[in-house]
Amino acid sequence: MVSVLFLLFKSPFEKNVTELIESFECKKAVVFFEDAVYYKSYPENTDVFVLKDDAEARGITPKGKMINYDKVVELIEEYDRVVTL
Amino acid sequence: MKMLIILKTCSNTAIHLAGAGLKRHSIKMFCYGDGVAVTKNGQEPMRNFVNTGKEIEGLINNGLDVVVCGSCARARGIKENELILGARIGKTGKDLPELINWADRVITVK
Repeated sequence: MVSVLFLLFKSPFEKNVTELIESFECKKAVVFFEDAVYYKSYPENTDVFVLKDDAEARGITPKGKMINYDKVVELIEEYDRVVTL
Repeated sequence: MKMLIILKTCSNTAIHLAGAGLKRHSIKMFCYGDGVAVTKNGQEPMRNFVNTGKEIEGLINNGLDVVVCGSCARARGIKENELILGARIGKTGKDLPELINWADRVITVK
């Protein structure tokens, strides 16, 4: 089955795609960048990563695992599809 | 692995991502819409703001291939000789499909 990595950049107050991601029945993960680090409610059954630089720049301590750009590149390699929402 | 980063806005994230990817992969960047502004030369940003042109020039020297949508640049008054060294003008209808065919992964930053 295809695995999907979702990249989110927008604040959940502008565009919330939690339910959309949950609707995918496959191996999936999400990376929150920029204002997307403000997400508090994470999609279920999804691995959640948060870009450390962007969270720290906004004073956010997220529940998701904090990662750097090198790890983002590894995730892009690992997953079959990369989708920006 | 071959990665294409499609840039639709002035984004530091895309630049950092390209920098990290270049350590182990072949990376191309396609700039369109407002994203063409990152490749303008002669930027004079305020203190604490990033000169995206200089950043991308550095990445080009490390192997990044940058293609800029010509129509998008012209629409914004940016001429080919006003782009940073190494960035080249392309056509969205021709170059973008070729780049997508080339890439193993396509990453859109908007």
